[in-house]
Amino acid sequence: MPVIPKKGARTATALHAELERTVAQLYPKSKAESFGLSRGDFAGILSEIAAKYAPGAPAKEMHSLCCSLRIEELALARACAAGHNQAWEAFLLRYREKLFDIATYITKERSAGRELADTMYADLYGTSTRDGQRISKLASYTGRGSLEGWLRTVMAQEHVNRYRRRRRLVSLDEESEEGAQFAAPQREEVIAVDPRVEAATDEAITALPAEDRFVLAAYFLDERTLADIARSLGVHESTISRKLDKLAKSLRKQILANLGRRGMSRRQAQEALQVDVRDLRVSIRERLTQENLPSSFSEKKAEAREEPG
Amino acid sequence: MADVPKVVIRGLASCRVALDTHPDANLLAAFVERSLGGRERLQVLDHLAQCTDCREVIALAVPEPVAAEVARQPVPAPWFSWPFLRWGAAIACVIVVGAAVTLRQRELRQAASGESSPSAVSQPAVPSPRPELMQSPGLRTETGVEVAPKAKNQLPSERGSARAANEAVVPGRAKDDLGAAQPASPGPMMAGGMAVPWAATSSIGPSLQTKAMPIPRWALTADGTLQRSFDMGRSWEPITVSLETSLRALAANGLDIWVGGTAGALYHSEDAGEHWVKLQPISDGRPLTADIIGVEFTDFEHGRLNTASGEVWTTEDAGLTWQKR
Repeated sequence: MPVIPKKGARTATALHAELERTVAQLYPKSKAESFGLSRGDFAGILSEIAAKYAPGAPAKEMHSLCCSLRIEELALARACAAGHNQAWEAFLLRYREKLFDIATYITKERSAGRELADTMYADLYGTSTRDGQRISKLASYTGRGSLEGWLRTVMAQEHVNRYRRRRRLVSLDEESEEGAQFAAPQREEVIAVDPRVEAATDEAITALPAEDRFVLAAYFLDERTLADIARSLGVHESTISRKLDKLAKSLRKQILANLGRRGMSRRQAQEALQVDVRDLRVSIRERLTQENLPSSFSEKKAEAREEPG
Repeated sequence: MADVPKVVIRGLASCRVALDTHPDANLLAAFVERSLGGRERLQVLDHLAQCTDCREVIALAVPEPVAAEVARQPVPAPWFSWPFLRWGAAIACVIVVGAAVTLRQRELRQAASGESSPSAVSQPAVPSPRPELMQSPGLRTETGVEVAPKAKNQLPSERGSARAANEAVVPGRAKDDLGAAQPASPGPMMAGGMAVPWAATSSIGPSLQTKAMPIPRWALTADGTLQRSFDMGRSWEPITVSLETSLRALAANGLDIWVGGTAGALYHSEDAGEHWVKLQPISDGRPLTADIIGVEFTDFEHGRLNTASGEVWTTEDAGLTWQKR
């Protein structure tokens, strides 16, 4: 009696066949051979990427994912990670100057940019090893975006991590000079806010689409400019301006409606929102910062001067 | 810009959660370059709405605007910039005025001497239409021939290049397709009443021809042949647009004529049938293949086709693009 393979096995066979077809189509285009990558290596890379971004997906979806990748840049990056010299020569030719330019743009300073670029270069080359194998950051590039865009993002991540680490380190000498030992204990501001207002606000914010919440957070929490936000989303600045206007009005309206559902009259709801707006004791910056660092003496002096009465 | 209540800002801040997983650099880079699919993009956006660190990474990873780089470099003035244009226009005016004065002087001398130069009249470089035609453009003259209004802003050759994607220029004049010799029709009356041969007319150029050409009348025969008359229907000449198509509908507006026929065949002429352009209406990637039984053009740009299968196709840009309704 012939053995009928199970559905899983049939699917695996179909996937394997589709992968072979995809490799046959993409391997020549990727110039992987010129970078020193064999067909088998290339197939392994595509298989890994498909498993990462489309696990269990049908063969057709896997094929279209692979076709959407930046194949040549992927082959170059992975060949560099594998230590092929011809790939490194090509990489340095294309990206050495760009690494420095990107780092300078991120750090806004040449010396810091040089330092960041050098660190990045070492990570890309793979100066650290694990189990005798060189570990290169380029091995994690998957070709979903351009290699240059990936380098930008990796360097931005490294810069942000460095900044966070530096902020955690506090100089005791500096603190004593600034009179930190005489600082009054920070008291949590007690704000009388009706819990229904917070609940209504949370409900209104949660109901917003992800893009709207991103725009609000970037503008009001991160204090990004309209131009920066627009560039992140690939739209015109005026689009973001109109969106924020519209969101501000619709949020107010929605919160009032939510408060109405919670038993408040329209007048009560409006007053509840207005009370909060007039509340100048709320220090938004302190609430927004992720790490609670004691502010410097000079900042505390400035705050004391600003307080009314 | 309208402000949001502070409770909203607090609410946004409280939405931040200590996220253990973050999108990797590949996804963030793909997000910045807008190469993520709908579902993945929404997932990344949802994360970014809650994660300050990732928002900061995105803000740093977006490349700096290119315009700033371009602005720093001095842009060389192109050859057609204002100073060039100004002087070029002035020189062109001087040449035109000089040529006109020279021609006028020559005519006056000839008139004074009483000589007639056949070459100057029968084959003028620029045919001068009869005075009554030029004095009242768009009005009927004594002979009842309508004069075409001034040529439209864009020359036919310019429009032709813009429509290259969906049309093919029918080579040669319509008459050439006949093969067998056809007696040349008298053609438009110009230059003091003498008929100008077609060869001389065609060398003039489409814009000047358009200015002086009378508006013809059109008809379709029962067997799908197009016919043209310049004398109010007293005499008709067949115009062969295509040997393969039987024409079923036409719309004429001055010198502009559109004809449609079997299997979606659509032709357009801007010079009263002297030259034809074949168009292929396409909507949503699908071409028009049904027989065209109705053509309407209210003006140069807005048109409508009706087909035997009940389809309606419209254009608002003189056939550059079409929408199937």
